[in-house]
Amino acid sequence: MEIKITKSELLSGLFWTQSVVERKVTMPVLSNALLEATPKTLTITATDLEVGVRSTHTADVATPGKVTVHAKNLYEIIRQLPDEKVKLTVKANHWVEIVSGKSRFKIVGMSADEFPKLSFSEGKEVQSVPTDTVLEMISKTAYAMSTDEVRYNLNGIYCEARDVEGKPGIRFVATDGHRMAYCERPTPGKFALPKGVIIPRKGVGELKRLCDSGGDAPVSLYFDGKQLVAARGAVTMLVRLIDGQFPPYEQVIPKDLPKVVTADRKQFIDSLKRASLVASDMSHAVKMTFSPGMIEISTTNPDVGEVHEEMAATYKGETFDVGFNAKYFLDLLAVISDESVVMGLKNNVSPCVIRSEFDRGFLSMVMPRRL
Amino acid sequence: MKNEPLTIRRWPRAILHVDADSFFASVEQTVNPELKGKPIVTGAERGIVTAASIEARALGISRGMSLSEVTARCPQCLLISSNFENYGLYSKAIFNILRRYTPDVEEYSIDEAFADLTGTRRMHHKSYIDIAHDIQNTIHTELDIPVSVGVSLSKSLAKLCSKFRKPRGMTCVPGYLIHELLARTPVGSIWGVGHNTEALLKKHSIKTALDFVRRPLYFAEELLGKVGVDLWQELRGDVRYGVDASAKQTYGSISRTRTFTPPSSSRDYVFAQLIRNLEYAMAKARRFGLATSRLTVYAKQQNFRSTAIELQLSQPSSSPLDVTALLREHFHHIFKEGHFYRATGVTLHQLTPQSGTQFSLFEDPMRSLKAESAAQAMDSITAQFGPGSVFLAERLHLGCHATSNKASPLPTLEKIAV
Repeated sequence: MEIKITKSELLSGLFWTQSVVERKVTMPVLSNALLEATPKTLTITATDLEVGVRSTHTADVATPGKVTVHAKNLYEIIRQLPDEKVKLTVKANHWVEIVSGKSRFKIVGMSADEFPKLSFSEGKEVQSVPTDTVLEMISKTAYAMSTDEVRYNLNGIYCEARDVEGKPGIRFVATDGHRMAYCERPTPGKFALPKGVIIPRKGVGELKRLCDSGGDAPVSLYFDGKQLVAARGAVTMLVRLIDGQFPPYEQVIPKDLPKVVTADRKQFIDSLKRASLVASDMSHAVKMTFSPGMIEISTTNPDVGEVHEEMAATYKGETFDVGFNAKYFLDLLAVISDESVVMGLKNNVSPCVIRSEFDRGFLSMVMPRRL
Repeated sequence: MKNEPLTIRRWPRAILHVDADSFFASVEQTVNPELKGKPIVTGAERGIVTAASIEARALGISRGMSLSEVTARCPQCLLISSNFENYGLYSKAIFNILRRYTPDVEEYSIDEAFADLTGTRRMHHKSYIDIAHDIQNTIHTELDIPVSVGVSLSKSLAKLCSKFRKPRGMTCVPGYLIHELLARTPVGSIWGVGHNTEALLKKHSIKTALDFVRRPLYFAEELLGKVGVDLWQELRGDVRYGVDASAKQTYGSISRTRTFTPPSSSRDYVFAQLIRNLEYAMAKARRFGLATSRLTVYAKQQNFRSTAIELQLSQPSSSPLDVTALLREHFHHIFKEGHFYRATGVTLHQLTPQSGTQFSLFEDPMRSLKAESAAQAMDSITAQFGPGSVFLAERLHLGCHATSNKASPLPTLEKIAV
């Protein structure tokens, strides 16, 4: 293999491999990026077997071929090169020679045969979705993903095809067992998703990076049973889906919510932040007392002291107390954009449903704590 | 370089570590003076040695040996059943003697304690080594329990010192002599270094504790992370682990294990033993106002092979009723038909305060609240009518020993091995 390519082009491809390659190596080849030169193009691929990324770049290919090289080392070397023109040559025993200006590197490579085979092929039912939509849906749900490795089926975002206000659409759901959030948005076309799939945490992060990488181009998404293929511009990403059952989240959304409270989102956030200064770092436990026209937030912590906050709210009904984790509320209030939030409650052992004032496609639930 | 001291300060801090020698066996010898000077081992009820007296050790008996091996090696050795109540009383007495010398005493385990002596020289008009001698003599004369004592600049160093000479040892290492102690300490003997860490350090040609601290700090950090940094500084005499003088109020975990003889192959009987351990551990958790969200349960076979499983609860609980169904569902992982079992055990992990439990979305909170009030009702019945007056029905399979909280000596159910 022998190619000539510009430094910026090569860097843009290697940039994508950096967060994908494994840090703690089980298979040495997974630290490497696969470089494949075909006439006119260079393809760069990296994977940790859970997420794979591939990007295609124009290059001046003298001899086609392929090799794998340590992705982090190569990225650092290319970044420091003095000249815009870079020449890559594969020598005997997979040594790779990098020449740029007056610099000349010779670094260790590995045979491309050892690199896992990945299938980046998109099926027919590809849907292109505006990146803003994907980013919004991720930000409105991702905070509720579980980090508990034991509950692997909750370590990601559940994704299912839904009709949204009569139009085809998609819904993202995340829960850690104590709270849940979903966000649904219409899409230009209908997703061929017979049942829901779970995108793992790392895949969610990479998808976010892909959508966040500038430009107006939409992202095209394709699900087959086992993986998600996301493509945008020169970059294609592959995410292996979690093989697990997502809990029946719709069954636990209460239908009957006799107590409805509306409050100003900004004020609510400020009060909760102040109360959190006293609440225990571990449990973030606060007590919310709902009484006509008012919410009181209070907490005591033997190590710090106590706090009592009052804020106006529209509520008619009897006074009652519920214990909550303040952090769960702060997380969800931060992603809502409307001025007011609407909370629906039943009692102090049933979930509290929080919705945005106007956004009907968003719903969040928080389970109380024991007082 | 080799003999250069690590620090020239003598006593920036003075931490004392007391370690009772063959504690359980020593208590037995003190309680029954006719056992003095004889080789004895405790743990007869478990079938393995839990402690061997100094005399028994001299004959080559060590902890963990099976009793048949003990009698084969040394027929004159006396086998004694453990009496944990006595051990607890003597343990408290040792801690109380330490508290006469300094208020900062950490009850590290039943037979070990740390005490911070820093600044007490003026009060006692003695050097640290004389204070340590005093403590050792007082424990010896008042309780007749042999202890080994180490004094140095940090907990890790004090612990090395108390191990350095045993039994009835006294090792006192001021700052300017730390390197001498560390040069004589193999890495595997450092507090907190297990087999795996030892092997890893040896790969980097670190053989003694001194080799380890002579390396730069970043080396320790890169190799072992935060633990490595703490260890490195502790061994150089900079305190990283303070003496925690607060009485034990929080628990990392609560365990309950019981051995029963003869071993049994009855599924119901072994399950009943497990339930009894569960009830006991949960009652202890409730006493401290704690709830668990992860448990390990295990069953040990006659041939000492044991199988354990870990169970994760979707929300913290302190009621055995919350767990029995889950335990029954997974019991087949640890119990195989046709094998004889001799012990079961339960450990509760991830203990959090019971008040303020976070409810789970996918679990009915009312169910666990009911289970908890049932457990509280059982507590109040027990308080009024004594232990064993109320228990889970599974325990009926223990026969006439169902009500006893002690390991039953003679199970009465069928299918029990002889």
